[in-house]
Amino acid sequence: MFDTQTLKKFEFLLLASSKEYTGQTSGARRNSKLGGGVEFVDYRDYVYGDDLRNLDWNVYARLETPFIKQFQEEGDLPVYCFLDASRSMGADAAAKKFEYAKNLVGALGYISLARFDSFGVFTFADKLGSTFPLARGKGRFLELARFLDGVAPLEGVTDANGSIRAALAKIRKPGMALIVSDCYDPNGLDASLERLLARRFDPVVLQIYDDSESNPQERGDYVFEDAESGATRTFTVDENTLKRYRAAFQNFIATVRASCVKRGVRFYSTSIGVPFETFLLNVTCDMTNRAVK
Amino acid sequence: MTFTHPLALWLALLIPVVVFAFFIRRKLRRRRVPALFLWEEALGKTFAKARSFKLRNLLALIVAALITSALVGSVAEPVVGGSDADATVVVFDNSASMNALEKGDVSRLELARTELERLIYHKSEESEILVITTAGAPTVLAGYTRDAAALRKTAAEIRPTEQPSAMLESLELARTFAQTRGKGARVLVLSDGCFDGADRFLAALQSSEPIQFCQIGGALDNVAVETFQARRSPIGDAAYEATLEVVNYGDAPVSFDVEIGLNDTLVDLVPMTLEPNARDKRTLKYESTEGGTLSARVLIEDAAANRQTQDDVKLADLPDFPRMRVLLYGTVDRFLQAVFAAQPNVETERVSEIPDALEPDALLVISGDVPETLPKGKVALINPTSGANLFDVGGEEYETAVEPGSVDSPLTCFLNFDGAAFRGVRDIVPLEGVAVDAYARAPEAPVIFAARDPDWPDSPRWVYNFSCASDSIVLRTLFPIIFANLVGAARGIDDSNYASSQVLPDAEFNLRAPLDGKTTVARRKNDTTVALGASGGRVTLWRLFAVAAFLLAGLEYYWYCRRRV
Repeated sequence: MFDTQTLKKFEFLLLASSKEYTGQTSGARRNSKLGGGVEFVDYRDYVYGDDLRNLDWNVYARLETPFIKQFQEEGDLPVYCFLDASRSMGADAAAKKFEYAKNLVGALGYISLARFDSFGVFTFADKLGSTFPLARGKGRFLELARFLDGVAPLEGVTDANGSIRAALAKIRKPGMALIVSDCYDPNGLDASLERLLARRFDPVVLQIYDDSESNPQERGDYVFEDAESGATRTFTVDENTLKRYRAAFQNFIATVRASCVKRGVRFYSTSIGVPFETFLLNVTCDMTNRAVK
Repeated sequence: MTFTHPLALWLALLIPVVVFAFFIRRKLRRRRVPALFLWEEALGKTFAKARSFKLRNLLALIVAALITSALVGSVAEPVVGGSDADATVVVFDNSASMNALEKGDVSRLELARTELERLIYHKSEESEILVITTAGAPTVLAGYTRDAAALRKTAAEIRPTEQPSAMLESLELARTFAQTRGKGARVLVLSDGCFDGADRFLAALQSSEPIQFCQIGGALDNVAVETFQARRSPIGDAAYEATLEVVNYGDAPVSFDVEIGLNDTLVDLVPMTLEPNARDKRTLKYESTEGGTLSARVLIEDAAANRQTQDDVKLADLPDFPRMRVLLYGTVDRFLQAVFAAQPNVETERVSEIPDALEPDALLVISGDVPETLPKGKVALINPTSGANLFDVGGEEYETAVEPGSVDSPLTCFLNFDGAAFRGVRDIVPLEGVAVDAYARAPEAPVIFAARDPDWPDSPRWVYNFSCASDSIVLRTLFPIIFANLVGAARGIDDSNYASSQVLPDAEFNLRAPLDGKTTVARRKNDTTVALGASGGRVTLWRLFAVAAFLLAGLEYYWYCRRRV
């Protein structure tokens, strides 16, 4: 999927969540909880039942008062990626869009695994598809890559809400939720985002589209067939209709963006004309900046 | 409107095919889109059932059908106008001048044939055509007929000739034929205008008669051999003369050679340079005992200066130079032997006995002693030393000056004997009853004469009574000429043409018409063009249909581009 040089570059990137998660296992991410970390934070009085391994014997020798050393706990970040595998992602020329999305998911997965975070993938269309369970460590990237290679577009009209609801039923700990999709859900993403936020997830929407979708050039008489529903309509496309379509497309993206912003969900949109490494760098940098603020 | 190729209208069956193909082509392109709802939101009611959409497709269909119809019409070649029942008498000039090559090395005859075929091609089914050719004499190749196939065959069978054009006679004949069809008939002349009687022809064109002149070709340069004749030398030797006359009908000076050949063997190359419209006439002298076909051929490098090659060659018949069998008897000295050997047309043979009778082509020459009775046949006596049955000879020789003889004598007509001194002359006295034509004589007796034997009137006897053994310069100079005349006379040429000259007629293909071969006839300003004259006022519309199809196709393509781009 990626060559060694590219993977090396990915190791310098970071998926920064705007929320703090304790994680299931120890990891590289500090959190506000004090626990079994390695970095000393503070002392507290000894109480009965404390682990004597944390007793600071040097202080006790000088003051003859027992103190317990407290450490900052370091855990992993569960990253859940919801990959839109509907037909709209793999229709005709847009097949490149699906490949682009899988590469993006793979890159995000490698970044997470390299940072000792947990990374899992849920594919969906009208319902939940194949799943790559949470995994940790770079050694699992090969499995992830094989999984992504085997992912094919699914039948049915995109139903993000139902699919995410089904996925959440399988998830015990919240984490970052990356939604990689063209966002062509007839019902929109509002319900999905609401559901994720309610479950204390940190949703991030990564919208991918093709230039032929944002700026079509063909004119003439066409029978347009919807890639997901199969519905057809006959249109005569001329310059005026193209202008109206481009305006409608921009309006659609603005609507999705507004929906995300309103809920504090980070939204990133890109054309597949942009190299995905560039898009990935922009996304991770923006995530990091926001996390610092 | 009629159609030149009505069968082509069957191609109209393609129109339904085109309509069917149009609907097939109208099958809209399918395109899968990831978000149809966006297109619906953007385009709203702009879909296929829109009225303008249907109207535009309908127009495109109509245009496609019109394109097909126009193409079919173009192939069928519709013709409008003209009279459907007209008659045309075509006077087709196939004379020698029509062999001249126009630009592209196409002969005028082929151009005229093309015009005739075009006339046949565009004629209506009811119109009649009659074809007359003019070479030599008017010839009706095809009587009035509506059969285009037969007319095309007739046009294809017209062959080039080397004969002059009988244009005026042909035109008169054409008028006669045209009058049989009344007012609907006309005469169309396909000619280059190079014929005799051009003035009368132009007068006929300017008359009110329906005569159309379609001039084939334009003014071209030409060099022609106009005269070439040959004859044998009148003095009986092996020489012959050829009269050559070459004319430059071009507008520029031209240099060239004239190749003289005898039986395909090169005899001479005569260089010439002629100014425009100048002629060079000269007499050429050559020598050969061989007869045959003598040719004069113009060799010119610049083909543009000589566009008609048919008049570059002329032939003349050169008669053979027949040999004479001469039998020598008696004392023939070395001088006489040399004179005999110098004669190219003489085969000498010495005989020891005088034959009783001579063959018709033999001449017996007796020198010295003469038998009492001369044999039957042609006999020449040189310096007789004894008498015979025709004359008596004196014994002594003497010198004398000879008086002139008869100018009609074959023996002396080319010589002037007046005062010439001869040695060794004897007295010679013809016997009674012998008719003597004395052509030159000494004061006492004849020196050279011809005697007619009463027993054989058809056997001529020529007598030279001087001695060739003497060293007289005058005699040695004149005797070879005298003997050559003698041989010519003995060859049997009649008295009226004794000099053996033979003027030959021109070769068969010689052009005698004054205007034939002269390709500098100017084009008349009011010449009717071929297209107008040959079509009889009929206008073909296939180009119009083709242009319409082209424009409609352009319109269709424009719409197509508007939909796609």
